[in-house]
Amino acid sequence: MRKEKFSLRTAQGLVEYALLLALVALAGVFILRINGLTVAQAYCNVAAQLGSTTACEKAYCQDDFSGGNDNWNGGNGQPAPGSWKFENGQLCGSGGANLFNSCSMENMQAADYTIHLEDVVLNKGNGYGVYFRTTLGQGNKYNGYTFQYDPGYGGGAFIMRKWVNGKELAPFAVASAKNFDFYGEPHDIDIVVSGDTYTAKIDGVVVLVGHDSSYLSGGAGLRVWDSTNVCMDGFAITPNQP
Amino acid sequence: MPLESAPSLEDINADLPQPEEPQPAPAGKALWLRTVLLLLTVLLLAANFFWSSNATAALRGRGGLRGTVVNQVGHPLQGEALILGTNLLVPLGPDGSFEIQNIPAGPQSLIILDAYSGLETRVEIRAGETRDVGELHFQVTAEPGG
Repeated sequence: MRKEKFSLRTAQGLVEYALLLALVALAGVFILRINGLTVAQAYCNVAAQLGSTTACEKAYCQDDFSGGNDNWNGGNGQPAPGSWKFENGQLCGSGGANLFNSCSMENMQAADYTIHLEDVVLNKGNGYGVYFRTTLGQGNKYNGYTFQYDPGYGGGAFIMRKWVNGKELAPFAVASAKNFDFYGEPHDIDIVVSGDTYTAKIDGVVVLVGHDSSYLSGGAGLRVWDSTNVCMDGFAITPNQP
Repeated sequence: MPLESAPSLEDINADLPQPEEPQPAPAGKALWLRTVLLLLTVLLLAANFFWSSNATAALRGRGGLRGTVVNQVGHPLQGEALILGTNLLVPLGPDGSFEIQNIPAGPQSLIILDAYSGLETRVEIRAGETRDVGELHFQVTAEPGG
Protein backbone atom coordinates (compact mmCIF):
# COMPACT_ATOMS: atom_id res chain seq x y z
CA MET A 1 0.00 0.00 0.00
CA ARG A 2 2.69 2.41 1.07
CA LYS A 3 4.80 1.41 -1.92
CA GLU A 4 1.93 2.20 -4.27
CA LYS A 5 1.55 5.72 -2.81
CA PHE A 6 5.27 6.27 -3.22
CA SER A 7 5.09 5.39 -6.90
CA LEU A 8 2.31 7.97 -7.39
CA ARG A 9 4.54 10.67 -5.91
CA THR A 10 7.43 10.09 -8.31
CA ALA A 11 8.21 12.76 -10.86
CA GLN A 12 8.12 12.33 -14.65
CA GLY A 13 9.53 9.17 -16.07
CA LEU A 14 12.25 9.11 -18.66
CA VAL A 15 9.78 8.86 -21.52
CA GLU A 16 7.85 11.87 -20.19
CA TYR A 17 11.07 13.88 -19.94
CA ALA A 18 11.94 12.92 -23.50
CA LEU A 19 8.46 13.91 -24.68
CA LEU A 20 8.66 17.24 -22.88
CA LEU A 21 12.08 17.97 -24.35
CA ALA A 22 10.88 17.03 -27.82
CA LEU A 23 7.84 19.28 -27.46
CA VAL A 24 9.91 22.20 -26.23
CA ALA A 25 12.30 21.70 -29.17
CA LEU A 26 9.41 21.49 -31.64
CA ALA A 27 7.80 24.59 -30.17
CA GLY A 28 11.14 26.41 -30.52
CA VAL A 29 11.49 25.38 -34.15
CA PHE A 30 7.87 26.39 -34.77
CA ILE A 31 8.38 29.84 -33.26
CA LEU A 32 11.55 30.34 -35.32
CA ARG A 33 9.69 29.21 -38.41
CA ILE A 34 6.80 31.65 -38.02
CA ASN A 35 9.40 34.37 -37.59
CA GLY A 36 11.10 33.37 -40.83
CA LEU A 37 14.29 32.08 -39.23
CA THR A 38 16.07 28.77 -39.47
CA VAL A 39 17.66 27.07 -36.49
CA ALA A 40 21.07 27.65 -38.07
CA GLN A 41 20.38 31.37 -38.40
CA ALA A 42 19.19 31.59 -34.82
CA TYR A 43 22.36 29.82 -33.69
CA CYS A 44 24.47 32.23 -35.74
CA ASN A 45 22.62 35.23 -34.31
CA VAL A 46 23.08 34.07 -30.73
CA ALA A 47 26.73 33.18 -31.33
CA ALA A 48 27.34 36.60 -32.85
CA GLN A 49 25.65 38.33 -29.91
CA LEU A 50 27.90 36.39 -27.55
CA GLY A 51 30.95 37.72 -29.35
CA SER A 52 31.81 34.85 -31.65
CA THR A 53 33.47 36.04 -34.80
CA THR A 54 33.73 32.66 -36.45
CA ALA A 55 30.38 30.90 -35.95
CA CYS A 56 28.65 32.51 -38.92
CA GLU A 57 31.50 33.53 -41.10
CA LYS A 58 31.58 30.40 -43.19
CA ALA A 59 30.31 31.12 -46.67
CA TYR A 60 27.68 28.87 -48.16
CA CYS A 61 29.46 29.13 -51.51
CA GLN A 62 32.44 31.12 -52.70
CA ASP A 63 34.85 31.40 -55.58
CA ASP A 64 37.95 33.50 -56.16
CA PHE A 65 38.00 32.31 -59.79
CA SER A 66 41.48 30.80 -59.48
CA GLY A 67 40.20 27.28 -60.09
CA GLY A 68 38.54 27.68 -63.48
CA ASN A 69 34.91 27.10 -64.21
CA ASP A 70 34.36 23.94 -62.14
CA ASN A 71 31.91 25.71 -59.88
CA TRP A 72 29.79 27.17 -62.66
CA ASN A 73 27.47 25.95 -65.38
CA GLY A 74 25.22 27.13 -68.15
CA GLY A 75 22.12 25.53 -66.62
CA ASN A 76 20.82 21.97 -66.38
CA GLY A 77 24.18 20.29 -66.59
CA GLN A 78 25.47 22.36 -69.49
CA PRO A 79 29.06 23.59 -69.14
CA ALA A 80 29.81 27.21 -68.47
CA PRO A 81 29.29 29.11 -71.73
CA GLY A 82 32.39 30.33 -73.51
CA SER A 83 31.34 33.95 -73.22
CA TRP A 84 32.27 33.72 -69.52
CA LYS A 85 36.04 33.49 -69.07
CA PHE A 86 38.02 32.55 -65.97
CA GLU A 87 41.44 34.15 -66.32
CA ASN A 88 44.03 35.60 -63.97
CA GLY A 89 41.80 35.18 -60.92
CA GLN A 90 38.98 37.07 -62.57
CA LEU A 91 35.66 36.15 -64.08
CA CYS A 92 34.72 38.15 -67.14
CA GLY A 93 31.50 37.95 -69.12
CA SER A 94 30.64 39.36 -72.49
CA GLY A 95 27.87 39.03 -75.02
CA GLY A 96 24.64 37.45 -73.87
CA ALA A 97 24.71 34.37 -71.67
CA ASN A 98 23.70 33.06 -68.28
CA LEU A 99 26.11 31.54 -65.81
CA PHE A 100 24.81 29.68 -62.78
CA ASN A 101 26.70 28.96 -59.60
CA SER A 102 26.59 25.17 -59.20
CA CYS A 103 27.18 25.20 -55.45
CA SER A 104 24.19 27.42 -54.70
CA MET A 105 21.89 25.94 -57.33
CA GLU A 106 22.46 22.35 -56.26
CA ASN A 107 23.40 22.23 -52.61
CA MET A 108 22.43 25.32 -50.70
CA GLN A 109 19.65 24.78 -48.17
CA ALA A 110 19.39 28.34 -46.92
CA ALA A 111 16.59 30.48 -48.34
CA ASP A 112 18.02 33.72 -46.96
CA TYR A 113 21.55 34.81 -47.73
CA THR A 114 23.77 37.58 -49.02
CA ILE A 115 25.43 37.46 -52.43
CA HIS A 116 28.68 39.40 -52.60
CA LEU A 117 30.50 40.30 -55.80
CA GLU A 118 33.97 41.72 -55.31
CA ASP A 119 35.37 44.60 -57.36
CA VAL A 120 33.02 44.38 -60.31
CA VAL A 121 33.97 46.54 -63.26
CA LEU A 122 31.55 47.16 -66.10
CA ASN A 123 33.78 47.99 -69.04
CA LYS A 124 31.10 48.51 -71.66
CA GLY A 125 27.58 47.60 -72.68
CA ASN A 126 24.12 47.81 -71.24
CA GLY A 127 24.77 46.11 -67.93
CA TYR A 128 24.80 42.82 -66.05
CA GLY A 129 22.50 40.96 -63.72
CA VAL A 130 22.79 38.79 -60.64
CA TYR A 131 20.32 35.93 -60.26
CA PHE A 132 19.04 35.09 -56.80
CA ARG A 133 16.46 32.62 -55.47
CA THR A 134 16.67 30.96 -58.86
CA THR A 135 15.82 27.37 -59.74
CA LEU A 136 16.17 25.51 -63.01
CA GLY A 137 13.30 23.53 -64.47
CA GLN A 138 12.91 21.35 -67.52
CA GLY A 139 14.51 22.66 -70.70
CA ASN A 140 16.65 25.17 -68.82
CA LYS A 141 13.56 27.20 -67.95
CA TYR A 142 14.68 29.07 -64.89
CA ASN A 143 12.53 30.79 -62.32
CA GLY A 144 13.81 33.39 -59.92
CA TYR A 145 14.88 37.00 -59.65
CA THR A 146 17.66 39.24 -60.91
CA PHE A 147 19.18 42.40 -59.59
CA GLN A 148 20.40 44.37 -62.58
CA TYR A 149 23.16 46.98 -62.75
CA ASP A 150 21.58 48.50 -65.78
CA PRO A 151 22.85 51.65 -67.52
CA GLY A 152 20.67 50.67 -70.48
CA TYR A 153 17.36 50.80 -68.63
CA GLY A 154 15.63 54.17 -68.77
CA GLY A 155 18.89 56.06 -69.16
CA GLY A 156 20.49 54.26 -66.22
CA ALA A 157 18.88 52.42 -63.32
CA PHE A 158 19.10 49.64 -60.78
CA ILE A 159 16.22 47.22 -61.15
CA MET A 160 14.90 43.89 -59.92
CA ARG A 161 13.06 41.54 -62.21
CA LYS A 162 11.15 38.31 -61.79
CA TRP A 163 11.80 35.43 -64.19
CA VAL A 164 9.18 32.85 -65.17
CA ASN A 165 10.12 29.86 -67.31
CA GLY A 166 13.25 31.68 -68.49
CA LYS A 167 11.40 34.85 -69.50
CA GLU A 168 11.68 38.22 -67.84
CA LEU A 169 8.78 40.13 -66.37
CA ALA A 170 8.51 43.88 -65.93
CA PRO A 171 10.71 45.11 -63.07
CA PHE A 172 9.08 44.99 -59.64
CA ALA A 173 11.60 47.47 -58.25
CA VAL A 174 13.34 50.33 -60.06
CA ALA A 175 15.68 53.06 -58.84
CA SER A 176 16.65 55.60 -61.44
CA ALA A 177 20.39 56.31 -61.49
CA LYS A 178 20.92 58.57 -64.46
CA ASN A 179 23.83 60.36 -62.79
CA PHE A 180 25.58 57.24 -61.55
CA ASP A 181 28.95 56.51 -63.15
CA PHE A 182 28.32 52.92 -64.26
CA TYR A 183 31.58 52.30 -66.15
CA GLY A 184 35.23 51.72 -65.44
CA GLU A 185 35.23 51.83 -61.63
CA PRO A 186 35.31 48.72 -59.41
CA HIS A 187 32.28 48.33 -57.16
CA ASP A 188 31.37 45.77 -54.51
CA ILE A 189 27.84 44.48 -55.04
CA ASP A 190 25.79 42.94 -52.24
CA ILE A 191 22.31 41.49 -52.56
CA VAL A 192 20.69 40.65 -49.25
CA VAL A 193 17.91 38.09 -49.67
CA SER A 194 15.69 37.93 -46.61
CA GLY A 195 12.11 36.67 -46.59
CA ASP A 196 10.25 38.60 -49.29
CA THR A 197 12.62 41.57 -49.10
CA TYR A 198 15.61 41.98 -51.35
CA THR A 199 18.15 44.73 -50.72
CA ALA A 200 20.83 45.69 -53.23
CA LYS A 201 23.90 47.58 -52.09
CA ILE A 202 26.73 49.10 -54.04
CA ASP A 203 29.88 49.66 -52.03
CA GLY A 204 27.82 49.16 -48.88
CA VAL A 205 25.19 51.77 -49.80
CA VAL A 206 21.61 50.63 -50.30
CA VAL A 207 20.53 51.50 -53.85
CA LEU A 208 17.36 49.44 -54.22
CA VAL A 209 14.89 47.47 -52.11
CA GLY A 210 12.34 45.13 -53.68
CA HIS A 211 9.57 42.93 -52.33
CA ASP A 212 8.09 39.78 -53.86
CA SER A 213 7.03 36.45 -52.43
CA SER A 214 6.75 34.29 -55.55
CA TYR A 215 9.98 32.37 -54.97
CA LEU A 216 11.06 31.30 -51.53
CA SER A 217 14.31 29.47 -52.25
CA GLY A 218 16.93 28.97 -54.93
CA GLY A 219 20.50 29.71 -55.92
CA ALA A 220 22.52 32.39 -57.66
CA GLY A 221 23.96 33.17 -61.05
CA LEU A 222 25.04 35.92 -63.40
CA ARG A 223 23.78 37.29 -66.68
CA VAL A 224 25.05 39.63 -69.36
CA TRP A 225 23.35 40.84 -72.50
CA ASP A 226 24.00 42.79 -75.70
CA SER A 227 27.54 44.12 -75.90
CA THR A 228 28.30 44.03 -72.19
CA ASN A 229 31.78 43.31 -70.90
CA VAL A 230 32.08 42.92 -67.14
CA CYS A 231 34.79 41.51 -64.86
CA MET A 232 34.89 40.69 -61.17
CA ASP A 233 37.44 39.44 -58.64
CA GLY A 234 35.35 37.33 -56.31
CA PHE A 235 31.97 35.78 -55.55
CA ALA A 236 30.54 34.61 -52.24
CA ILE A 237 27.22 33.68 -50.70
CA THR A 238 27.20 34.09 -46.95
CA PRO A 239 24.61 33.94 -44.17
CA ASN A 240 22.88 37.27 -43.60
CA GLN A 241 24.41 39.39 -40.88
CA PRO A 242 22.15 39.76 -37.81
CA MET B 1 16.44 -3.03 33.95
CA PRO B 2 15.60 -6.60 33.28
CA LEU B 3 15.23 -7.48 29.73
CA GLU B 4 11.66 -8.60 30.23
CA SER B 5 10.52 -5.17 31.46
CA ALA B 6 12.31 -3.26 28.69
CA PRO B 7 9.97 -1.62 26.16
CA SER B 8 9.68 -3.36 22.86
CA LEU B 9 10.88 -1.80 19.64
CA GLU B 10 7.26 -1.23 18.64
CA ASP B 11 6.65 0.71 21.87
CA ILE B 12 9.70 2.87 21.32
CA ASN B 13 8.65 3.51 17.79
CA ALA B 14 5.13 4.41 18.94
CA ASP B 15 6.56 7.06 21.32
CA LEU B 16 8.55 8.71 18.57
CA PRO B 17 6.88 11.57 16.67
CA GLN B 18 5.33 10.00 13.68
CA PRO B 19 5.91 11.63 10.29
CA GLU B 20 2.80 13.01 8.77
CA GLU B 21 1.25 10.80 6.24
CA PRO B 22 2.14 12.43 2.95
CA GLN B 23 -0.80 13.60 0.96
CA PRO B 24 -0.94 11.93 -2.39
CA ALA B 25 -0.16 14.31 -5.23
CA PRO B 26 -3.15 15.29 -7.33
CA ALA B 27 -1.93 12.88 -9.94
CA GLY B 28 -5.14 12.98 -11.94
CA LYS B 29 -5.06 16.77 -12.33
CA ALA B 30 -1.38 16.85 -13.27
CA LEU B 31 -1.87 14.14 -15.83
CA TRP B 32 -4.86 15.98 -17.27
CA LEU B 33 -2.87 19.21 -17.55
CA ARG B 34 0.00 17.44 -19.26
CA THR B 35 -2.36 15.75 -21.69
CA VAL B 36 -4.03 19.05 -22.58
CA LEU B 37 -0.64 20.73 -23.07
CA LEU B 38 0.55 17.86 -25.23
CA LEU B 39 -2.62 17.96 -27.34
CA LEU B 40 -2.43 21.73 -27.75
CA THR B 41 1.17 21.55 -28.94
CA VAL B 42 0.43 18.75 -31.36
CA LEU B 43 -2.62 20.64 -32.66
CA LEU B 44 -0.57 23.83 -33.11
CA LEU B 45 2.11 21.99 -35.07
CA ALA B 46 -0.43 20.10 -37.15
CA ALA B 47 -2.28 23.34 -37.97
CA ASN B 48 0.96 24.97 -39.06
CA PHE B 49 1.89 22.12 -41.37
CA PHE B 50 -1.65 21.92 -42.69
CA TRP B 51 -1.96 25.60 -43.56
CA SER B 52 1.43 25.58 -45.26
CA SER B 53 0.49 22.54 -47.35
CA ASN B 54 -1.48 22.29 -50.55
CA ALA B 55 -4.27 20.52 -48.72
CA THR B 56 -5.86 23.88 -47.86
CA ALA B 57 -6.33 24.52 -51.58
CA ALA B 58 -8.67 21.56 -51.71
CA LEU B 59 -10.69 23.05 -48.86
CA ARG B 60 -10.90 26.46 -50.52
CA GLY B 61 -12.14 24.94 -53.76
CA ARG B 62 -11.13 25.63 -57.33
CA GLY B 63 -12.19 27.93 -60.10
CA GLY B 64 -11.32 29.00 -63.62
CA LEU B 65 -10.04 31.93 -65.61
CA ARG B 66 -10.48 32.98 -69.20
CA GLY B 67 -9.50 35.95 -71.32
CA THR B 68 -7.82 37.20 -74.46
CA VAL B 69 -4.36 38.67 -74.91
CA VAL B 70 -3.39 41.16 -77.60
CA ASN B 71 -0.04 42.72 -78.37
CA GLN B 72 0.85 46.39 -78.49
CA VAL B 73 -0.78 46.86 -81.88
CA GLY B 74 -3.92 44.96 -80.96
CA HIS B 75 -3.13 41.68 -82.71
CA PRO B 76 -3.69 38.35 -80.92
CA LEU B 77 -0.58 37.39 -78.97
CA GLN B 78 1.13 34.07 -79.61
CA GLY B 79 2.40 32.63 -76.37
CA GLU B 80 1.19 30.88 -73.27
CA ALA B 81 -0.72 31.55 -70.07
CA LEU B 82 0.09 30.00 -66.71
CA ILE B 83 -0.69 30.31 -63.05
CA LEU B 84 2.47 31.05 -61.10
CA GLY B 85 3.43 28.39 -58.59
CA THR B 86 1.34 25.69 -60.26
CA ASN B 87 1.80 23.46 -63.30
CA LEU B 88 -1.29 24.96 -64.93
CA LEU B 89 -0.14 26.20 -68.35
CA VAL B 90 -2.07 26.55 -71.60
CA PRO B 91 -1.02 27.87 -75.02
CA LEU B 92 -2.83 30.95 -76.27
CA GLY B 93 -5.27 30.23 -79.07
CA PRO B 94 -4.93 31.70 -82.59
CA ASP B 95 -7.21 34.53 -81.46
CA GLY B 96 -5.11 35.10 -78.30
CA SER B 97 -7.70 33.48 -76.07
CA PHE B 98 -7.05 31.19 -73.14
CA GLU B 99 -8.96 29.33 -70.48
CA ILE B 100 -7.45 27.71 -67.42
CA GLN B 101 -9.50 25.53 -65.10
CA ASN B 102 -8.85 23.82 -61.79
CA ILE B 103 -7.09 26.84 -60.26
CA PRO B 104 -7.00 26.88 -56.44
CA ALA B 105 -9.36 29.60 -55.19
CA GLY B 106 -7.81 32.72 -53.70
CA PRO B 107 -5.30 35.30 -54.91
CA GLN B 108 -3.21 34.04 -57.83
CA SER B 109 -0.73 35.41 -60.37
CA LEU B 110 -1.69 34.99 -64.01
CA ILE B 111 1.41 35.07 -66.20
CA ILE B 112 1.29 35.66 -69.94
CA LEU B 113 4.51 34.79 -71.76
CA ASP B 114 5.61 35.47 -75.31
CA ALA B 115 8.93 34.34 -76.75
CA TYR B 116 11.06 36.68 -74.59
CA SER B 117 9.15 38.30 -71.79
CA GLY B 118 6.11 38.09 -69.54
CA LEU B 119 3.20 39.99 -68.09
CA GLU B 120 1.97 39.35 -64.55
CA THR B 121 -1.61 40.07 -63.50
CA ARG B 122 -2.95 39.49 -60.01
CA VAL B 123 -6.35 37.83 -60.02
CA GLU B 124 -8.77 36.56 -57.40
CA ILE B 125 -10.09 33.09 -58.18
CA ARG B 126 -13.49 32.20 -56.79
CA ALA B 127 -14.42 28.58 -56.13
CA GLY B 128 -16.84 27.13 -58.65
CA GLU B 129 -16.66 30.14 -61.00
CA THR B 130 -14.81 30.83 -64.23
CA ARG B 131 -13.75 34.44 -64.15
CA ASP B 132 -13.43 36.39 -67.41
CA VAL B 133 -10.56 38.91 -67.25
CA GLY B 134 -11.45 40.31 -70.68
CA GLU B 135 -8.76 41.63 -73.01
CA LEU B 136 -5.24 41.91 -71.64
CA HIS B 137 -2.74 44.19 -73.37
CA PHE B 138 0.69 42.64 -73.48
CA GLN B 139 3.48 45.18 -73.05
CA VAL B 140 7.02 44.37 -74.10
CA THR B 141 9.08 44.58 -70.93
CA ALA B 142 12.43 43.55 -72.30
CA GLU B 143 14.20 46.79 -73.15
CA PRO B 144 17.47 46.85 -75.03
CA GLY B 145 19.08 47.54 -71.69
CA GLY B 146 17.91 44.24 -70.34
